[in-house]
Amino acid sequence: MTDLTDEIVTAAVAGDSDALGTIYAVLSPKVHGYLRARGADDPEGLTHEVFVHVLRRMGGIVGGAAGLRTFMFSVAHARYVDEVRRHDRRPKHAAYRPELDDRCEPSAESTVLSSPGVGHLANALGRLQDDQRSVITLRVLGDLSIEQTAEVLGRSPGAIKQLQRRGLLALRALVDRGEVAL
Amino acid sequence: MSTSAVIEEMLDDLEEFVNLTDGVGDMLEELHALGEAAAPVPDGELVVLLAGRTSARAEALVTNAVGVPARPHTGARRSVLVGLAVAVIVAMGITSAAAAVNELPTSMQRVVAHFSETYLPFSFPRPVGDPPATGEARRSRPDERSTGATKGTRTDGSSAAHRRDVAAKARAQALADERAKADARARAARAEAAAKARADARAKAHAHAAKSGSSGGPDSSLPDGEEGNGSGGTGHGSSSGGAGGGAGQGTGTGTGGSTHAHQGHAGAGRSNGGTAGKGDRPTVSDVHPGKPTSGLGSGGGVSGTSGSGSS
Repeated sequence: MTDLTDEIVTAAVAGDSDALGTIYAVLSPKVHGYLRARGADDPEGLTHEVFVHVLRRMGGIVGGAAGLRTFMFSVAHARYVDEVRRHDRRPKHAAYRPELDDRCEPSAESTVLSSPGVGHLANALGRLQDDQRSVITLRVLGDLSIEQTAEVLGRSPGAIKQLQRRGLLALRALVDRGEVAL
Repeated sequence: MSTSAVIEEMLDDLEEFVNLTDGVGDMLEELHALGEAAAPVPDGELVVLLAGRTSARAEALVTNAVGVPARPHTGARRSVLVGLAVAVIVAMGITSAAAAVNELPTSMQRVVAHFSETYLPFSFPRPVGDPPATGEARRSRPDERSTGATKGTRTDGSSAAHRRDVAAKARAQALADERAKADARARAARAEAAAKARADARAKAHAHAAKSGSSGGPDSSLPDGEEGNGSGGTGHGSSSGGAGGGAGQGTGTGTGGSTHAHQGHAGAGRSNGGTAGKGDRPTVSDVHPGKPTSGLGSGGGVSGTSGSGSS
């Protein structure tokens, strides 16, 4: 896979179609994976919205490849948060199925994370706190450093480090107790 | 920073607390694999953006496609305009405050005062020693046109007080005009009464003269003396009367308190073809005390005699 460089970003800012295509090819799967790992209802649609938003503001991108990556995942995280809030305001309605009536409806995030293809990973991430889950997914899927992750989430680097450590320890505990099948 | 590097860094950080990180490492690799899937297929709007134009043309295409104007500098322009508006308002406020207390430079104070007198409902004071406002500036005030008042230099800047002064002056002027008209009417009435009295006296004299003339005797009792010049003191009078129907003219000065200032003697009269009258009949000069009068009496005899007398 082609790595994202500052030259590519500079060419994309100048309007080069190849550079724009490269950016989309490199970053769109990661954005899509991040939104999927977070349990978005429509990760493809949100990915599309994220790229439309970012590409319309390519002229204001600073910081080269790292700046573009940070901005891209900032927009992706904001879109996900907006969707979660919108989902909370309007709960999802479905046809009544008695066999599934356990008097509790799983959240949209849990539903997506438990879908085929995500499996035990969704189960493990679903047991983490929301901030811990955000830090781990942004760092792994977005290739973001501690500082970039702190900028996306609006927290301090020290807080990000602490959240990452606690999240990894929680995952380790789940593995040790055998509650997550690898 | 590659993904593996990120995962290695995370595991290194975790190894400071736990020894075995294999399970966690596998989980992170599996999570990383979620981002290795194929890219979603872009739809029409995103295809336009990825088509690769120059930035300006791409923004225009996006604007046409989305329907939302993409003007990244709109906010900056608005900020500049707002800043200019605020600066203008602040400058006008400072200038107005300085003009109100007459602390601007003379020329600028004059300009501001003229502007305010011409176009504003209030006025700033003129510089010290400056002439009053011009007539053109005064004519431009509709409220002052209606009252007909004129405006002088105002240094206090209080337009309300000025308007009250103008209204008071207008009322005082109207009152003075009414009083003058009333006085004129009274004078005219007095003059008319006096003229009527003179006419009556004249008619009476005519009647008396005619009566005297018909009796043939000399008659010098003309009412001439009743109107005489008096200056108080010793009476001095002169009368001239026509004897035998002549005209008489006399002046008399009456002594205060005396009803008969003097006794005039009818002058010698000559008659032409008629009864010549020579009378010593004194003329009554009815002079009011302390009020000299003068008069002219004339009478025409039937025979046209004339006489004169003096006393």
